[in-house]
Amino acid sequence: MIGILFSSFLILLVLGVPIAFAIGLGALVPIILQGNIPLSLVVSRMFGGIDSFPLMAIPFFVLTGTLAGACKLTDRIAALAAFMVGNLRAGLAHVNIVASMLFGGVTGSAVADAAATGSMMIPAMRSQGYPAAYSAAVTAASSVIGSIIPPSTMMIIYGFLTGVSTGRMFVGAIIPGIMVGLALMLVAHFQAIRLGIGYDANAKPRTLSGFWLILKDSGPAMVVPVIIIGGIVGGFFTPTEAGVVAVVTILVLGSIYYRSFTWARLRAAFMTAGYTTAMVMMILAASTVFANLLTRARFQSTLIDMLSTVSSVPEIQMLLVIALLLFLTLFIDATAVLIMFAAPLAAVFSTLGYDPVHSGIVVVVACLIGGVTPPVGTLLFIAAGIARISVGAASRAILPFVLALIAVTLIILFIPPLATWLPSIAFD
Amino acid sequence: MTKFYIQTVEALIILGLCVMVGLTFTSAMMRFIPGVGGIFWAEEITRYVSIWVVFLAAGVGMRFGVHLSVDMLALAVPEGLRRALFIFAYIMSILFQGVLVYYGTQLAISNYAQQSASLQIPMTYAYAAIPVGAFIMLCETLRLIYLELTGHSTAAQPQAD
Amino acid sequence: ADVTMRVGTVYQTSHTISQGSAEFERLVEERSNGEIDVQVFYAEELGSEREMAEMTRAGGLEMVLSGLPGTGAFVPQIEVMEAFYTYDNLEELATVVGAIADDLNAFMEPQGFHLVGYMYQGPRNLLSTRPVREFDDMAGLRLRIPQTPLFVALAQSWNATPTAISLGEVYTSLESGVIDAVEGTSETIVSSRFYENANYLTVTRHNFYPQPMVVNKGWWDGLSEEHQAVINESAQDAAAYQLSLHKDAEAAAMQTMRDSGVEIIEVDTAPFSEPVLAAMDEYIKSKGEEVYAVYQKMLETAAEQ
Ligand code: NA
Ligand code: NA
Repeated sequence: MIGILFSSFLILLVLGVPIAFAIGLGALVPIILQGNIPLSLVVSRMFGGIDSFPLMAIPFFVLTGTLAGACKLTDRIAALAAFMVGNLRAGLAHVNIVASMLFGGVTGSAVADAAATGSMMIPAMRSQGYPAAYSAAVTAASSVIGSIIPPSTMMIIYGFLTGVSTGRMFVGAIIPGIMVGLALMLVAHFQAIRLGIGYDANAKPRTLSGFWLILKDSGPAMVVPVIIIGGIVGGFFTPTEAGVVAVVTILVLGSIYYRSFTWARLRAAFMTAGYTTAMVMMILAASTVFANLLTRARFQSTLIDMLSTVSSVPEIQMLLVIALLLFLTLFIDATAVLIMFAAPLAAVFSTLGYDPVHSGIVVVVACLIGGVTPPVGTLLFIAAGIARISVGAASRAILPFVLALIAVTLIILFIPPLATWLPSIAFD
Repeated sequence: MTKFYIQTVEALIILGLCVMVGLTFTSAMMRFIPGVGGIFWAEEITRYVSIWVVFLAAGVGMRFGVHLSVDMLALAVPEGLRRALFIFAYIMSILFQGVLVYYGTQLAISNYAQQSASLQIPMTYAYAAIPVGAFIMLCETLRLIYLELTGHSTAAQPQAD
Repeated sequence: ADVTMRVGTVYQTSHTISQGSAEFERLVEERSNGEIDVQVFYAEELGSEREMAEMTRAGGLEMVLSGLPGTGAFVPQIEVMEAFYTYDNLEELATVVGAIADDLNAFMEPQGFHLVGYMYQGPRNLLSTRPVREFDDMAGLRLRIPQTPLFVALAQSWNATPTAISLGEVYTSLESGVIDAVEGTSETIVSSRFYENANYLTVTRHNFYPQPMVVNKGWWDGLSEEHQAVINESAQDAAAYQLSLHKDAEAAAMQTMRDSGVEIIEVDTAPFSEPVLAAMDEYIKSKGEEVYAVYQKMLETAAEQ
């Protein structure tokens, strides 16, 4: 049964059927073959799979990101980043990464981060003479941080599917998110030396008056991450409610403080959020049926058995799981992989004795790396598209950054407190 | 006509998102007023409106390539085969959309007697999102097949996430 | 086997309702000499309670163990069987529900369900992050309740602030302080680990309730009389078995909480029940004469105990 399920799904997927429908059809095949489950169940299970209040955090945090773009909050965040790191060697590359970290505190999605920071930073880098492939690689790799630093739709999905507290996942991902940012800055620096990129000629010197100007303009924008994390940790809101409060905050900031909304931009922001939500939720709905069949076929225990056949050392089993995720996300969208494997993997990790928040963050980060790895890497595609270069050229340039991302994942894997320390002081 | 239909669906999606934001925000804020506990039906309405938003956006989103697919193979083969692959993928999509329309309609009709937990309204209103959205998806997919057959490229350009 | 009977429950295999279902499977198969093959699906394997009730009604499942969230979505009248402060203990619950079983079935049959039996749940108590030692401590307590009108009425009559949080967010919400209290059976509180984040259990005993065993009516009518009798008797015996397990499970759950440092607060329930009973009377009256008549019957039967 597991064999039929996966092979029909994978065949449809490779032949180009949209992921959501390939998952749904893949699940229909064994249901029809077995004949003892009514087909109407497929539809009501799909409904049940997305009929959940915690999942409403996804549209809200995606909307937060698109609205932040619509009221040019991203420009102000980039200005703040430029003040912080613009004077380093290959300054704009570092500005790109730091802007992703700051914007990551506002938006819940890496794709929103790639689109927002990319459309702003890549043209700027190009006009300063940075190589196009380098600019695209920095953008794609750093946008991963958007889904690590809270809020994060990936953490919401993982929490929803496995029962791990989304609030703890959010707080636990702060240090890993900063680590990823620093690691990417390190790679960006060495790559800059190798490529002969020097200091930016027109980087503004840091002055106290400059600081006040920046603070006045971008300070209020940084209220958003404070409200989100403070609201959740302080017990004022659930993660879903924090999402909605963030949306309202940006609407108020954009219309009263910055006065930068136009109707057309607002409309586009809402529609993008609607489409993004629909894409994720359709995959989630179809996967509910798929996951249901996996559970009935005892997939979790099969997976655990397979892992223990290869090795009995938990660390090696963990490494195998990460390798499996990296392999799958080469070809399948990171969100889809996370949705299909979150629940069985959480069961595996709890059997291996790992902390649920720690192993959850490792799984999410591993899946996210897949967003920048060719041949199927949404974030890489977006960045390559903005930089107007081939995916092949972007793929070569991103390799050192991918290695850094994998290295950080392994460090988090072997040093659990990096993920568990902050949640324990925030909640216990 | 086409423009009117797309604008209508888009307006409904935006309206739906606004309802979700408005209700959840109001309910969350009301909790801070002593003795008031938020709106007990806000969550239910938000959930069902979101399902409508998802299916409507999934439907009209078909037109804009919202649904991610793996096009490695399609991009690697010659033009004629690529076209055949696209049409195959669309036909498979239609199969699934057909299941959603048929069984979704059945589900929506047969559950008129079923009431939602908070507001006690017929579940038909929530379930109807599935056949309606899937029907839009199906029509949009047929349009894509027509375009592909008449020599227009329908290679998906990702619009969103 | 001549007849296949697929049975669905939301509970994990360790729950007494699931153990009762396993006993039902054993009894039916033994007494029908293998003519009826029972297959039990545990732990939402086939879907949520609402989805399983839907399936049972549509014929995709022969039986579901489902109360308000499932069967009640189609048969709102059966809400009355979960009325608060109507039963003082499990024995009373068994007697009273026995007296109204035919009425419940009469509500169910027009919707395509048939009631073959019922297992037992309760009591529901109050778990909170700050101690509730007397009725006045309830004032302003942010109490998470299932989002149904009956429970809204309960929270309001207690002067608590009814807070709509989905069950999945309760654990974190208790932890972060979004809510102060949750109510439920000891088994639920322990299996969902809510007691890790809230250290006071007030024994309000506000609710005992039956867990109906509901079959598809069309399927039931097509069974031979012998098979119907086997199922009826097995349902009764399985329920009796579940009731015997339930008391031990309840005690064990209370002990688990005590062991992990939860303070169990015994209170005089009268101040808690009086305002609730008044509100209930009004609410159930609004549900129509038929339902109100059943409620009256419940109160009378309970009073005779
Ligand atoms: Na983020
Ligand atoms: Na990839």
